[in-house]
Amino acid sequence: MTLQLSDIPSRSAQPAHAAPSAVRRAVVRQAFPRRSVLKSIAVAGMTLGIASLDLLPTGSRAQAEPSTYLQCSAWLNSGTQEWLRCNPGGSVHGNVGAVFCNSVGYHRIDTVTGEFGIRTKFYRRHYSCTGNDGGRNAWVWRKNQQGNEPREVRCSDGRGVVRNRDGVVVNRYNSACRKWLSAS
Amino acid sequence: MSAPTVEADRSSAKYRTADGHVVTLEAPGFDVGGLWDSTVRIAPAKPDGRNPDDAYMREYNVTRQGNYDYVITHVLDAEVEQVLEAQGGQFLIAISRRPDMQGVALWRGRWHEIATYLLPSQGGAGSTPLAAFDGLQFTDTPEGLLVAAPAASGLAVDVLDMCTNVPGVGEVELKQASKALNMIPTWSGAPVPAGEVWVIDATQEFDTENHRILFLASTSAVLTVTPDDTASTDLSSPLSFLESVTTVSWTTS
Repeated sequence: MTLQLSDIPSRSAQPAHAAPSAVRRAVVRQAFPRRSVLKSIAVAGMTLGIASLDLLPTGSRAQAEPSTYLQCSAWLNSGTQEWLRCNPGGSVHGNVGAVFCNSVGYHRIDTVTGEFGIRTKFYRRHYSCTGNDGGRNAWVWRKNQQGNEPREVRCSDGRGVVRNRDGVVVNRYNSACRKWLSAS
Repeated sequence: MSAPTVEADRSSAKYRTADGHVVTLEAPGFDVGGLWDSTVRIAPAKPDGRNPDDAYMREYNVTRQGNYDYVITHVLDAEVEQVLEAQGGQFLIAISRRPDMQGVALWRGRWHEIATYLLPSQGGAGSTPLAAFDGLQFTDTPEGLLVAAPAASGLAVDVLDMCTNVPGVGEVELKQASKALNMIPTWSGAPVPAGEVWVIDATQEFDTENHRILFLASTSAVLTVTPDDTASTDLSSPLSFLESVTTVSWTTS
């Protein structure tokens, strides 16, 4: 059997007449045995209640668009410097810098050759900004015209993989491209 | 993380995560025994209902011992300013010479190290960058670095992913299936020995070509492949890799 790209279903669009995923069913059965389901329902109710509090408008927060970074609302009000917006809480999603950007302000995916034949190949990390919910590579902070707000900024996640002249991976690090979207 | 010395065959890798799970990847014909790293999140063990819990989240990177030497020197343009012997290893604080770059704090064990980036204000006089490690206990082993948060700390250790680069294939990222359930479609993927495979459109708004990544789900782990060239129409090597995977698991023992 040889797997062909044309034979592989999309993860975002359900094909017509598609059968249910057996793997997903097995994961659910293993992770959520029937006995624990009732407990889960009770916990979910509490979680929804807490989450709904975060959805209330506060009047002073900027909005994360179009997607959300998991920690945006938590650290925006902390009074930290603007550039830290791409790296909340020392997140490994950031080693922040414009050096990680391509010409249009998203994370680069090219290869850079340095001294002694060291080559760094950059990759985008496509889902890091929203955890496990199938999110996006980039996230944007925009002003909401209330209060003294910092500059609008877009952050785009990636990773550098460093190889020596023999092609052996000798180092890995995470990085974040930061692109200012407003002058002030 | 470092390649396991007990494994002569690099087509198989087994690691212990920071919270004690065992991650196994076996792909005959492919080299999965290279450098691995892992994202670890430390957060309050229980929500207090008063503040967004993510406000107290902090993330760390667990990787092979010495990995951050390159980052400190060549990426951050930083130098080590503090060294403290503790927990059978060393805490190191490195501060960038540039105001627009971050510093890094790490604990370095015999085989692995755990690091977190610092904010600029944490590198100045009177700052306490080591506070990032308050309440955490480290036990380094050849199989992995264990991170424990005693009950009194009120913290919980959560491992988000394990990542490596497979030569000729691209970046490979593993997550525990039960924590990544919302990444698994309700409809079936293409069958492969280890599970089911789907394709993901990863095209950005500015891209002039279509970019694709591949996604495999087994009963205990999910695996994402970001090909070396996501815009290529020839993904035969990443596809062969997914077909070759005989085991991809994330288990408690």
